[in-house]
Amino acid sequence: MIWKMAWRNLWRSKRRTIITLVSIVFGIFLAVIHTGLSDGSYSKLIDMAALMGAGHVTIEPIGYRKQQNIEIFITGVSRMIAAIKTRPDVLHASARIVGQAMAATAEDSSGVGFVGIDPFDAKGQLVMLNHIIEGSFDAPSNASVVVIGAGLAKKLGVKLKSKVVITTTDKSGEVVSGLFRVCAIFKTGSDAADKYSIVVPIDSIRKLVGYGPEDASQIAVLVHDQRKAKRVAGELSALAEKHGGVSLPWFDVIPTLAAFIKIKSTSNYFIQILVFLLIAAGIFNTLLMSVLERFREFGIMMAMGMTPYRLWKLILAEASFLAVVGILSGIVFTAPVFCYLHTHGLDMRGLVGQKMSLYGIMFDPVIRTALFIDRELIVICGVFVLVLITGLYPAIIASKTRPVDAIKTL
Amino acid sequence: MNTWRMAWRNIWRAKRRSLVTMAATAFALGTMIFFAGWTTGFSTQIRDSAVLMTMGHIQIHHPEFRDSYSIYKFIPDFESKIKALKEAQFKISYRLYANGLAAFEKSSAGVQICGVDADLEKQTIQLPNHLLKGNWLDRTDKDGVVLGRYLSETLNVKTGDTIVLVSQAADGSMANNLYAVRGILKNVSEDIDRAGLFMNTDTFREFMSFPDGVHEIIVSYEGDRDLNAAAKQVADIVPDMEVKTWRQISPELSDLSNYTETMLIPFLVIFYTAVAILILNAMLMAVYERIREFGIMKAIGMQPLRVFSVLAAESLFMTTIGTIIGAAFGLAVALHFQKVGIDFTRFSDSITLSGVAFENIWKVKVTVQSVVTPILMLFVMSAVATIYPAIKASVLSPVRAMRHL
Amino acid sequence: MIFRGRKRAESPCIGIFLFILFIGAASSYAGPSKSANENQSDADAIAILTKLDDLWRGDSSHGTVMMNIKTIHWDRNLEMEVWSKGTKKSLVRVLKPLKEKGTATLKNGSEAYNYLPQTDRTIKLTSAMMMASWLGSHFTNDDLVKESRFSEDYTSKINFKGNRDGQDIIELTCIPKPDAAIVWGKLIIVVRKSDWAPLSIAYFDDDGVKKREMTFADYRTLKGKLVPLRMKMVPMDKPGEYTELVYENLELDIDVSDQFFSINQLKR
Repeated sequence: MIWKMAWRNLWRSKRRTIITLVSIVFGIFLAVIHTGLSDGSYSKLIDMAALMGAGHVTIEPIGYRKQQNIEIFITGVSRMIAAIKTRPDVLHASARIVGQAMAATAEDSSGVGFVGIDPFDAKGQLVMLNHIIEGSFDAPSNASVVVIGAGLAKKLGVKLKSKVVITTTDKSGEVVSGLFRVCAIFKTGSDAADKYSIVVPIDSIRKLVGYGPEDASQIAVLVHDQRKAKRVAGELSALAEKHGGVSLPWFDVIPTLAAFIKIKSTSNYFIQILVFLLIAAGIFNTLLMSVLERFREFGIMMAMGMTPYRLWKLILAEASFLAVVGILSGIVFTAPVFCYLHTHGLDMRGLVGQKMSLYGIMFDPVIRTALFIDRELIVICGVFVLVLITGLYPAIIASKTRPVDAIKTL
Repeated sequence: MNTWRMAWRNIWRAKRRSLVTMAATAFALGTMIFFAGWTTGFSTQIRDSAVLMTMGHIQIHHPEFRDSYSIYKFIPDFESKIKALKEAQFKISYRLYANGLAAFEKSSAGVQICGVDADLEKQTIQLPNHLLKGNWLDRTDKDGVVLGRYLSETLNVKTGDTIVLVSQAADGSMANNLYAVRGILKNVSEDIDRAGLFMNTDTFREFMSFPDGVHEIIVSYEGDRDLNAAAKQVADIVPDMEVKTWRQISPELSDLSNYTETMLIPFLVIFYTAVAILILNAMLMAVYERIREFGIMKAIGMQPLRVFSVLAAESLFMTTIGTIIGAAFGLAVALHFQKVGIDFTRFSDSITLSGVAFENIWKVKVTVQSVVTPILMLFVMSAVATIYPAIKASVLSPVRAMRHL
Repeated sequence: MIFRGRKRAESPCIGIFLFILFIGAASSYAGPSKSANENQSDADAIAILTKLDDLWRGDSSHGTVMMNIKTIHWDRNLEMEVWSKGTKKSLVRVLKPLKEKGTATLKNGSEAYNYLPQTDRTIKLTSAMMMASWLGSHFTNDDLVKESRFSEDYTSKINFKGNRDGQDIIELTCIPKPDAAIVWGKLIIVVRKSDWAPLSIAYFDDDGVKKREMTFADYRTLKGKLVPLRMKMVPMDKPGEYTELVYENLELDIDVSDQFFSINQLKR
């Protein structure tokens, strides 16, 4: 009976109900979009960092964090990769040989950081390879070719097919050199990459530094959902140890970015809480107002035998209906916008420019929402609970109505 | 009876309703003020950190210096130039640059040697205060050097250790000498962290056989001057040198500063929408509930215009009171955090953005704008929310008004 | 990265410098084999270059050399004492100017060290330092350490035989083999027709632009070997700059032990 009454009460005062529902709908809208956008923006940052460097999870030799040195390496990589790829969370895994070298041409020489990777395996694995402007990296994995950045190409005075001599120290500390030819030039827009990073096929650099066919500096593992990085790293640690390595999540490998993201996410939580409070205040306001205006009505009901407890339940029931209807409408209203923002994103390019770089990571300034359904569900439940809680005080006030005084109000 | 008095009495007649409405507006304003202060502080901090930490507002170089960083492309006659700049109310410091090799026990690393005037640096730039370990250079220190953070890690040195520095001096000979590590910097910028080595100007001149000239003059100013105007002023003082603003020297940093300000916008929109909903809500409820009441007033002869005015006046009062309370609280919180800052240092002691490091204590900045704008927005939103129901109340026929739910 | 400036010479060039240090091959140096048949020019080219390579495949040497470096900013004249044994060991010590007396470079196999007397420190040359200029000259550390052979690392052809500037010469064009770790696009070597003594080596980049040139002069015969006592390295992009090496005195086939070429010796 209470429920029927509650429902009817709501629709008797359409205006009040609509206003409250609108508040709830907007509340859902704002909270969900906000969470989506902020999750999206730093998920993207993390994914880009993983692509630029060593994956969401990195398997590297023990002690590598302290001293990055070509003389230490992990072995048995192809077996490890095969095992890693069988996991459902893993998107991709590839072996890399990394180090530092001097690149020299007849024109000039420059210090570089190199990444040796299998060209066949490399699609989408490195940001540099996603920004090739000339040539291509389609070559066998032992070809003596190199992909260099536009900034470096300019400094060394090279074009496609030009010679570059790469000098580095091999695994026993000897200085070694090899001849490579430029097969592609990339331009990411970030100086750190364009002037410093080079990519070579893994087996050619393997030969140069004297590694065996199963040796590598690291295995970069990409996962589908960056939030699972920590867990996957834990799962892989036994495997890594067997081969002389450790398994690290990205935030141990790039702590500065991790700190930045931590701060961003903390401040986003902060804003989220503010938004929630504002929404709560709005709903509270509406519910309370409607109770305050209905004292006469409550007085009459009590005079006719309704108990304070039942009145309390009635108001809560009204609040519950409002919550449910509001949330459903909210979802309906928000979903299309959310999907649009997920696929197209908020295009900030007009304001910021074509590209943005942060930590040497290039990305386009289009903010997309992240489709983390579980997060959004939490947000929606949060709003639901919020509505119910804000209904408590008005319900209590309603139940304290004194019938005689109430009927006397205008 | 006067409209204002009636409005005032009406408000206090329905105490609970009015208080709730005023509380809502106060809360909205309080959060707006705090939020505005926070976002202002955030963007200012990014901008200032870059400038104050190491770049200064404006930099002067020999026109060909930045192409090759050749030690021979120096600024001649620098003392008179510096004097002229100081007279124009600028703060100055200068740098000498050379490349070299630092070695300690088995490790070695390429370094960028930077000769500075130890005292001048303290006045213009934050760098000297930014030490992780040890001390900054003393002006009389002939053998001391200060290293960037990652450089010290590569070489595996601590303060007090002695390193070898090798380079090719300006006269072609092999410059080599021993220097004591006096201090290690916190993160400053990628370049300095990895390869920065600072020494006194005199030490540099002796080591590099470089008696005259400087490579970089850093110009800073206090207060809010227009950056480009200041740059032009500097260029007029040193006509044949290259004068660039920090934005031109590091477009990445400039981009970052713009980026953070712009990227806030979607979140600002979300935030203010939430505020607007709250205000709308409060005002709508407040006015709509009164329609019945005004129906009765109209029935006993109140003019529609009067009805509208009274409602408008009530809204104005409530908004004003809400503003006072909200501003008081909002400012209190904002000012507290302006002084203390929101401390994120437990995550890491500094973060590096676009190659420059920032302190991890985020300061709120309260400006006139960060207070006035939210207040104006509040009044506008309240006005907008009040208009429709107020008009409705004033024109509705008394009978229908009284029956209004 | 570190020291700027000096561009590299080709390692065989510094090898030529070193050849002076340790010539004295038992195989004495005969004249060119006459070959009228042009179809064998490649073979001839290889023969010439093999002789070139072998010129510094020697036993040991000891001598004093002046290094004159001229750049647009400064001039320097160094006097150095040098020892060598075979192709893999050499020690160079600076005698003058006083400020740099005692500075020494040791090459032992593929490792190299610099000793700096002012700070009494020995620094091992790492791969990052290879491109740095050696003692401020137009040569690099890499030239001292690396070893490549003209005859093996290049494909060569004789492209001119005849008279130029009053001398009968043979000109060879050498293209680095596809795998050789050499930055140059090609070299053009000019030798004397009579005795195959090298006169000049010009270095070109991938696009055929001449980057630098090394010339030889002042040939003397010592212990049966023909030796240029003067070598000059000229970079093309810095007009007026050069590095010149002039031998003041030179002894071949001296008695020197392997232990002499050690880090301890650097410091003396």
